[in-house]
Amino acid sequence: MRKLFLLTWMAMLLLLCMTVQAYAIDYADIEYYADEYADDVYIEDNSSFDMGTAVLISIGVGFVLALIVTLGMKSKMTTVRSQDSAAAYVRENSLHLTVQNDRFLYTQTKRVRISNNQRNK
Amino acid sequence: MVIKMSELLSYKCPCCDGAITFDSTTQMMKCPFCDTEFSLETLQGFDEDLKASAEDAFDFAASDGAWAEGETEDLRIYVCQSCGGEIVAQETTGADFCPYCGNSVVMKGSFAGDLRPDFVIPFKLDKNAAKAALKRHMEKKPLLPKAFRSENRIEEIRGVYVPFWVYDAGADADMRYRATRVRTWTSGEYRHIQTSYYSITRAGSIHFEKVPVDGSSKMADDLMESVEPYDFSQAVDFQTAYLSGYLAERYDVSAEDSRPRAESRMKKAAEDAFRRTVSGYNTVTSESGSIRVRDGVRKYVLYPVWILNTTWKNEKYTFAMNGQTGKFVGNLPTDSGLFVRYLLLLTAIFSVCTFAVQWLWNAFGGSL
Repeated sequence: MRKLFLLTWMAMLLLLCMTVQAYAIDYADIEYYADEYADDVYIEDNSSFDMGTAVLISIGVGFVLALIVTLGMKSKMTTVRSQDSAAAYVRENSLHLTVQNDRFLYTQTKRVRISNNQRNK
Repeated sequence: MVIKMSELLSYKCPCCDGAITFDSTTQMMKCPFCDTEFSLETLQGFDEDLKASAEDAFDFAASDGAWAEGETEDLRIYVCQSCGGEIVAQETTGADFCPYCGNSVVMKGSFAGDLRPDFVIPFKLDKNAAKAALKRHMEKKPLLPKAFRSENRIEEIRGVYVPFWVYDAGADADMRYRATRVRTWTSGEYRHIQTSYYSITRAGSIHFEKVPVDGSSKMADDLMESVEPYDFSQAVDFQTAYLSGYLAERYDVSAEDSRPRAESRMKKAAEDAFRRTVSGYNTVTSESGSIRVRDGVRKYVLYPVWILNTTWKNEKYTFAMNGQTGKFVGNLPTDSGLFVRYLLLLTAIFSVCTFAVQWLWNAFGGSL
């Protein structure tokens, strides 16, 4: 347990180091382009993978998932609960419907313009 | 103090004169000294008197100022037939043990006349099953403090026959719901969302059998409801012999006072059952409705429950096991330190996994 804990936190630290490094490289690129094209600074980003954003998303998603799992574990500690329903005591096949009426009332239709982004997907 | 004592009932072995008790494994009366077994039918004669007899009369008169006013109102003093020792018990106690010789005794007065239960579900599981169930209950609970698991010594395990009122009743329901069906389609540069509204009516009846309500104010209602359900098909006509070897209580919450709880549970179950008949819609909301409970019939029964008590960090923890089905319940303490450690550990694991998925997604150009 302790080993697993250390291992995963080492992996987390590695991720953070990679993030810092990624930002450092980006900063160096900016300096380089700024020196070469002093009048017209332009950074071309060929990669769509933003390390910093990816790490932040990972931590956010990881925390939410972990919270769901640990709260689930905590809820298992409580097993004493009032039973508000007598569903366990319904006599088999004793439900008899004398009225079963589904009446249509009206319809509403809404129209939403699809944005270009959504359409491209 | 003038005490008019009630009669006690204790079953003696005809072979060795030892006190015999009900054995949940063989479902017979058994002498723990010579292992002789007796069927319940042979002891039925003991109970015939109870049907006709009235409740015991008691007359406590204060003297010497030893008892404060009202202190003795709920107490009854019995004399053990085996050793002559005094057994002080509460008014509602139906079966107990002599504190001097350990003999199992049944207070006849607690089950005489109108106090006589209609049915009893005998214990099917013994004390060892309760201990094993507690052990299983604490397994696979990573947030349970380790000290609670290792140092835990159950202070008390009691097999108790708990008084219950059980109700049979029908329920007539008239329910109205508002429901919607949603259809979406795309046409040109527009998405159309069509919502159709419906008024739903359902009426009919449903029947309930043996809805139990705990008739003892000493037992926590939520604890007793948590060990449900009981299989009433295994109930037998009441006989005091079943109580021998266990504790028993008689009811102190009347059938009238217990009925609202049974009705409320029936109404909730009826509501849910009628709601389930409305299907094929995207949303269903209850608009109005009425549920009328009718033809109620009640019975007085004793249900078997194992109660286990322990104290940890000055807090009392009570567990209960259904003595018929073995269903085990009881709240456990949570170690907040372990909670935080698990939260951090899992955050780290899930974060690494999420990052790996993102990285792979990017590496394969989002074509995974």
